[in-house]
Amino acid sequence: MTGPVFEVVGEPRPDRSGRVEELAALGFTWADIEDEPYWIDQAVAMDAERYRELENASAMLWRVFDRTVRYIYGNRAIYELIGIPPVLWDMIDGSPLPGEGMISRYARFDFAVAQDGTIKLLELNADTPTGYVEASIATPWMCRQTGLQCPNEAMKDRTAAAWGEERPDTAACIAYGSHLEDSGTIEALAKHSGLDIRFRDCLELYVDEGVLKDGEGNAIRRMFALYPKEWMAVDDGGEALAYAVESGNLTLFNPPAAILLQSKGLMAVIWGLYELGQLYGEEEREAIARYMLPAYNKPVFEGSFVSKSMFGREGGSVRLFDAAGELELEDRDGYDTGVLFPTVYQKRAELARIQTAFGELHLLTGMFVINGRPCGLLGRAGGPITGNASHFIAIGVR
Amino acid sequence: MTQANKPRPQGRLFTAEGKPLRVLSTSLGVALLANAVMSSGALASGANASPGDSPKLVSWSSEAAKAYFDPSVDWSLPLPEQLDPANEPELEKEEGSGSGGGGTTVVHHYGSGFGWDDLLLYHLLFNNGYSYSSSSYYKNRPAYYTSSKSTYKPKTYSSDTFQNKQIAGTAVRPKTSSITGSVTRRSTSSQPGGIGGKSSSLSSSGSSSSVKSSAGSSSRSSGFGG
Repeated sequence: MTGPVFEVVGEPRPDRSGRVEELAALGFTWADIEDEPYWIDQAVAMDAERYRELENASAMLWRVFDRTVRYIYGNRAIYELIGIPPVLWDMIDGSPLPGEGMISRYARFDFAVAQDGTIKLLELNADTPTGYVEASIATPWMCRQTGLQCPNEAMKDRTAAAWGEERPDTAACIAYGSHLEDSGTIEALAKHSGLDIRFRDCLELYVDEGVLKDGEGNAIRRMFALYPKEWMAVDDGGEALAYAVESGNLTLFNPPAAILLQSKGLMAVIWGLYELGQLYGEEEREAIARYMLPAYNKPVFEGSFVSKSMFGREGGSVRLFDAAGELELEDRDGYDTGVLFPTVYQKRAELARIQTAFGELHLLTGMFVINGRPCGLLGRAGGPITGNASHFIAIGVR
Repeated sequence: MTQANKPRPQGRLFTAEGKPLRVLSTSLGVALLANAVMSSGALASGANASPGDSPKLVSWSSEAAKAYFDPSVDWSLPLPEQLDPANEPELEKEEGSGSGGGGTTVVHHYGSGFGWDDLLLYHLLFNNGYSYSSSSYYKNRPAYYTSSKSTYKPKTYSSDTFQNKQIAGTAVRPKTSSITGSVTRRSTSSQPGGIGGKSSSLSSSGSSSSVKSSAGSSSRSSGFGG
């Protein structure tokens, strides 16, 4: 390993508003959010060798996660410990597990890749990841302009293959039409799928004796929803929605078991099994030791660590503790789901720092896994905790 | 990670320095260990049994029962002292007490010979494989009160007075309150707004100072992605 892994290329062009409009026309309508710039008009070049390692690491870890879900499947004592709400248990256990690598066909790993090339997994978003438009549309657009190779070009085809298997008739999100990011995400996915998809707002949906219906009373049989399944424990209609799935009237994409992958508690399960010398073969153990961080459901560390809710999103609930175990930094922007779900503790890993037009920022490296294969980079740059206020920056390969 | 800290493969509960594994001080670690021990006995056998000594059956109730013994199944129970050889107290070992250490396993057969399996058999015979129902049980088996010689009629129930299994969409009156109360077993319907209503207000309400969170209209922050 010689030079740094990441290098920022390009300078922001003077005509930002024109470029923001151009991106909006492509489907990325939230490059600026109420005059605040979310998109950074620069790109990050990633060293090709490191990219290949990241791709291999993702493929290997995907197998490890898949295997672990199969191992704990049906074990409700473990479900409870990793924060799976009981209202979901029958739905999860009543739906057959999809084939190998397909428990979620639409997922994203988030890695801390340091400038020295160390790769450490921070979390897996396997239920309802966003950032798809940024990765599949805006990133190739930026890479073409900055002369970088773009592995994300494959995302559309992978999405078409995944949706071709799941064949949803409806795609839904909360506040469809007014929430730009979530609406834009499901629209781009549906467009890339090549299927004829109806779009609905989750808030108009209701369950009628086990049949999910839209605002006009039409039955929905197969649905892709940007609606995290753990919220079914909070929402009034959650139990009825679970009943719709259990009674066979509704098929969800991602399927119910995707929430087992989604729980950050699963990383503690993996680390625990690894420490106990259970389940994994030599190759898997090497991947865990090399690419994962020690994680437990209790803070038993000697050095610095991070605590986060097992179902935290967008940085909400993340707290950083220093080597003495003192609270150093916490995210106050995102909703702290730690009051609803148990906490997982993970050893700290440092993010690479990059010099951007917005100053020095920490880079979080996302890797989409679509239809079972790693296929797309997502860069987000912000503070030490990547939260709501972070920026999107395209990552290409050089 | 240095070689010394590296967890050892296959069923070790201590680090090279003799400390218990860190994961064992967490509830999840204990649950995982218990799960591993119960599901396969892999840990206990990995720690104690050498490949040569296969279990032997030393007592049995009848010749027919003997045929069910399969030496390839792991019969040994993980006893606490096996898990921690250092703390093993010197117990007087009764012959054939069930410890897997010596490679000899006893399958005891107690008492009268009437057990749960017999009960299950009766259940299958008398209830034809269905769940027990007092009315159908007595339909073909007339019973009488010995004093009056009158026919015994079992009490009848309907799903709103008593349920011995969950029936979707039905309600049962609680025994401990007045007749006006009811318990709904399972909700099978919901109203519009029931999916995402509460949770979307929660996930946006946490944003304290951010401008983006204002109305949830064009913001990212009330979104549902991860």
